[in-house]
Amino acid sequence: MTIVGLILAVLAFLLAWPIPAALARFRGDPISEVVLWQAVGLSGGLSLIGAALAFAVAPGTTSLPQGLLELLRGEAHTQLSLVAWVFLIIAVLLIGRLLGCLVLTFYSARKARLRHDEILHLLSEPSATYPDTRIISTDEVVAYCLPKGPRKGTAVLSTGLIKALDENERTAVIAHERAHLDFRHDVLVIPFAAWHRALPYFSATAIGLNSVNRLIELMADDQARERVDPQILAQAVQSAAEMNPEHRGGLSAQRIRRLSHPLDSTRIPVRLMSIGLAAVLLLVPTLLILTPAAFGI
Amino acid sequence: MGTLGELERSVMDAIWVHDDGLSAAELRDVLSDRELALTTVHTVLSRLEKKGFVTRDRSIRPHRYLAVSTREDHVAELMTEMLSQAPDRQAVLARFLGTVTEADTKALRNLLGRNHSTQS
Repeated sequence: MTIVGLILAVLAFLLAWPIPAALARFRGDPISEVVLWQAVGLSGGLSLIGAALAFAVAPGTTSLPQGLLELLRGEAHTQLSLVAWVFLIIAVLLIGRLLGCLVLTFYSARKARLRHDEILHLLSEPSATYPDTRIISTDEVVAYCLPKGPRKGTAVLSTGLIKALDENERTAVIAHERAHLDFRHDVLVIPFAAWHRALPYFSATAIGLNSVNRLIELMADDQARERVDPQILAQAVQSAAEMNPEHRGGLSAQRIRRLSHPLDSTRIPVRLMSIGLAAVLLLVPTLLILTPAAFGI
Repeated sequence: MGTLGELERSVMDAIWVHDDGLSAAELRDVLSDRELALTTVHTVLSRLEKKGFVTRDRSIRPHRYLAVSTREDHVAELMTEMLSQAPDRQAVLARFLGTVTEADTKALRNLLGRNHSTQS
């Protein structure tokens, strides 16, 4: 059992540092990367909790679930050593913190969105040209979207952006924002915002959040390609970046580069491989935790 | 007459340009082209008060309604919030642009522009 705990601890370490660092450098298909990030986040959390639990259950237990059951029934706690108690408390606090932050992040994001929507409605006018789009009067060159339930939500354009872009470019920008709304990209970010909130001192959580935030922009670009000319969207990104020095970072450059080339033809096999790899990442800690056989080693 | 949302927007627009605030009757007159009943104006005002956009000066009669924040402050609030979620490091810097003066903004923009050109 100590061995299972050690394996899970090593896995948790790998998923907390070298694997996220390598994944952040990987530049391929954004959907594959997001799938892998979700798997790394979940698998890392499982390994960490599993490791603490494996050290916590009474020695001589045949499996972790059984050991936990005995603890819950109050049959085993008298046999626990001081060290086991410490690990048990760590595991319980960790589970509470991770789940608590997940719930908290979900509700605070929702609350912030409703408040943003309230203020937005006082400051902006519905667009006469585009459906579900509002125009806010400010010189900042910005376009963003405000999700609201499945496949609903509002795209927001600033008057600054309308002045800076021509009509085709604006249509391309709206297609990009619509893609965020239609594919619920906000939901993909929530777990990472939660993990970062729960464990802010883990650099992996910051890298993960930052990466997923970047990847959803690339995903929206890829999905917008189906409706608009990628070259025009690239032009729009370029124009917005020129107007807004603070938007000139590496992301705009990366988006323009990607939009200027056709989509990678190997993306489908890469995606399938990533899903397979993600499944393995999730299965390893799950099996280690659940199967009694693993305790035999 | 439009929706309640549009009505709230017109009322806020009127209050934002009157720094000394307005009474409900004055508001009705300012928005006379909408032909609002005084009770409608009161309904909209109490909704806006509950949401925290207007405050009521009860020291005089009739009560006067004042904006809690300027329109620009609200725009800056939205932009700040939106940019704080942006993944770019530069976009995170931009979060501060909304809260500083116009002159500072220009200086910061220049600085950001220069940094960028020296990097690339």
